[in-house]
Amino acid sequence: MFRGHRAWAVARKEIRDILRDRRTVFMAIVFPLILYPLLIIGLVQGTLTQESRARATKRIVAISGGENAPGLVKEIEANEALKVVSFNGKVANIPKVGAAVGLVIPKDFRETIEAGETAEVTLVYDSADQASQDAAGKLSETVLTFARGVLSMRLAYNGIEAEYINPVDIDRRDIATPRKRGAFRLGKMLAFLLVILCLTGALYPALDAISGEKERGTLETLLSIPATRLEILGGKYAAVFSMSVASVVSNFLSLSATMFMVNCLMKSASGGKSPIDFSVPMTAFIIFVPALLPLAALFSAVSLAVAAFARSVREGQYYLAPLYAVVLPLTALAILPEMRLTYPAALVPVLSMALFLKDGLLETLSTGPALVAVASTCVYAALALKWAAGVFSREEVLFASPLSDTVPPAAVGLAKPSHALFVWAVSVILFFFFGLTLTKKYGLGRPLVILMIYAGFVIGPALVYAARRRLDWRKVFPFERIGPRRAVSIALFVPAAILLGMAAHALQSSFLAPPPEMMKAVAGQKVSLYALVLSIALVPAVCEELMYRGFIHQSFAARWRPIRAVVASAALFSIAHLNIYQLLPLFVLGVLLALVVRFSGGLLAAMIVHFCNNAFAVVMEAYKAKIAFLTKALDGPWAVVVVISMAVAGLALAAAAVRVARGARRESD
Amino acid sequence: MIECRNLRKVYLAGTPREVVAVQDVSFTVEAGEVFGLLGANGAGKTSTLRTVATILAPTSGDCFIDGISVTENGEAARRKMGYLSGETRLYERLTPREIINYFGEFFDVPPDVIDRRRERLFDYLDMREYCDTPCGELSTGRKQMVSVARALIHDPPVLILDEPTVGLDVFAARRVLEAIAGLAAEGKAVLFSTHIMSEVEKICRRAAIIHRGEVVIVGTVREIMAKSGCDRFEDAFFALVEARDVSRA
Repeated sequence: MFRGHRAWAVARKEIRDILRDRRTVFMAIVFPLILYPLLIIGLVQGTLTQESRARATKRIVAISGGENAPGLVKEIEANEALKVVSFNGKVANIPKVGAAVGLVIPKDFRETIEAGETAEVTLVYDSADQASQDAAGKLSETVLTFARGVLSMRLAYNGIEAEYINPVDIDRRDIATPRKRGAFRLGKMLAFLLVILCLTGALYPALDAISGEKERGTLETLLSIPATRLEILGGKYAAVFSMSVASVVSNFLSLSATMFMVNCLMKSASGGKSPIDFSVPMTAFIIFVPALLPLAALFSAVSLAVAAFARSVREGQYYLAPLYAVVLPLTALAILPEMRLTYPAALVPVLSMALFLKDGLLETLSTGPALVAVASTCVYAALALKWAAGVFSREEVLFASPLSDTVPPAAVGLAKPSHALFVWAVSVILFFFFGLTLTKKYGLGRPLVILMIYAGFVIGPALVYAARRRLDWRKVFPFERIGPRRAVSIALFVPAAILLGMAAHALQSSFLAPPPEMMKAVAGQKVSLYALVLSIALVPAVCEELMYRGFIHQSFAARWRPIRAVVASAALFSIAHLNIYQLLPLFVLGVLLALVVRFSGGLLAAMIVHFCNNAFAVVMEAYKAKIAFLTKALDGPWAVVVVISMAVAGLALAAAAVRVARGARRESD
Repeated sequence: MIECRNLRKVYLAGTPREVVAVQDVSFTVEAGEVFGLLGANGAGKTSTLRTVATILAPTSGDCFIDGISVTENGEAARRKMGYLSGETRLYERLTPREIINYFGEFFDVPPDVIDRRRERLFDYLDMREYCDTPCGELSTGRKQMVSVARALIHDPPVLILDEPTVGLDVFAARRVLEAIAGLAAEGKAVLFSTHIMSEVEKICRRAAIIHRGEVVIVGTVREIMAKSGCDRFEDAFFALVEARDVSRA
């Protein structure tokens, strides 16, 4: 039973403790109150001053060949913002005469104009220099005014009305109010800012409340009170949630007040007729509560769970970096102009609330997706809280095992998981910087080159590490004998991998499909089927299995629970491909291949399944035209039924394969 | 007051990193007695005490605090005990007064009783000089005195103290030991772990030596020395631990 008064007592202690931490309070609440006025108003004032100074400054124009166009020179001299000097036509001399811009007039200027033709003048400016750009703009305007005058004279001479050369005129009417224009510009930035502030507002109090407690040695003291772990976590959660909300509210109010001031400044600068109104719209205040509360609830729970893994605040900051890596892109996606809160987007955590805020500020929020977004975020927050509660009740997470440095017998001769992660990172970096470049240079038509790339950059770092650390090669890269029963299990695993991969691909494509141009570029490579099978199926099957199911999964499985080892190795396998469009299918394949190794006892079966899966994809692509019916089925009205059927069939085959593989392993043991 | 029966604690049970920290540990501590749990670092003292204090769950076996099972009713057992260790620290931004108030509230002690007991503890432990100073500004010895007061605010009949003198200078350690002896004299059952032999000789009536998670011997200090055939308690400890290692090999 959860007793609220116990959690409240813990929460009060936490809040008092956090509020006594002057640095946290200053950074989360006080700093934004000062930051926005200082930063934004200072910036606006500075910009206004600069603009008025730019308007008042006379730009010097160096003219060469002015005697060829006295009319044009007169027009330029009449412009009060410009001052004319002459130069000899050499570009290098323009700055020497103190000019920001140069104008070279050809000798035949007057004759060309009089002949009714187009005379060409050269405007020399420096696009990397603000003064030069400004002068070029003013000079262009003046030259165009002169050209319009010449045109009017030509038309009058030939008895042509001005309307003759301007058959259609566009009358542009902007229906947006200044406030709406302001909301359009501010909405995207504000949505991004509020989501990030909500996260940072939760992160640091969460780190202090759990990792900080561990580091300071107060967690043990707290756990000795007569309250359940859930009540203690509930109290901490309430404190972190309050700090997150307080931080965002403080930021939001400060920003609103600042933007109001900015507006007043802009109005007074433009004589009370500013075309844009930057004050935070009232809708922002209305949508603020339903958007902020579920988001703060989600971030607080996730931050607490992640913080529980860390032994110190510093270690916690390392763990929280991946959280930023997930939240930042999801929030940035919401800024894209075409992104709107639709029903599928409303199911994606973080992105849904960022879009909720953006659409709300732009007054384009639809009720249905908005409700789904709030509901889904609440569900994710509840799940995250459940996860945090689970983490907080695990002894091995809260207290380091007294003998945790002892290497378990199964892990002797294998890399430590942290070392395996480091080697993986090295491999991904090498493959990104060298492997992809070389593959692009030589193409997929040279399997031997592909083999060298994979050997050098995918499995190479692991081999070097294993050799230097003198790992047990048979444990790092275990190989099994394939008897009849194992052959049957492989025969079942192969279609399971293909079906599950296709279902995962279809599912991911419904959210994030690769652009058709990219697909055409891949399909456009003229390489023989034989070479493609070797480059895309055989080489990766061997090298990636050695790396991911050998070096990495064996290291994880020796120290972690099986499910954690399988999921982690599959996630690394998926991310290493650096292809956002294939994340889910590759993760599914990674999980399945890790299960193959786990139940077969070696890498050979996984290599065969991996090879068959990739070879099938290559052959499918080659005979795309002949199997068009399958592609149509995946795009047609029955697509959902087809995808679900494939997933179910794939799971059933995988379950059967695991059963057979287990039997085979028992037999061989 | 404290009765441990075949206590066993395994970390990361069921994983490849499984570690057996405590094996079949049994002992009893009576009211008015300081019972010493003596062992080297990593012997299993802290795991045993954390399990008795319900901070860790035993893998098997049980422990009874004033007749209450820690496995069946951990919260009721916690109300009967005050727990502190050399590693239990204080909230550095809070003052001793605030910490004691909070912990009194956590243990459902009425506010007027908290006030009364707190003032008595300030006098008893000579804390009045620094009772309103944030704990982060106190010396290690003073912090440990605040921890003692924090563990006593709900007036528990049982005290579980895990190396409470670790890191203290000789004067502070002496003050803490005197306080512990005084509390036992008031009738509290004190389970006290240490790796400092002289502390056991000074304040414990009975003791258990724990080695590699197992109890090597339980008895009075005199009985332990007699069993080992040594005149000094420190020699007795080494002789018994080495004998256990030899018998294992």
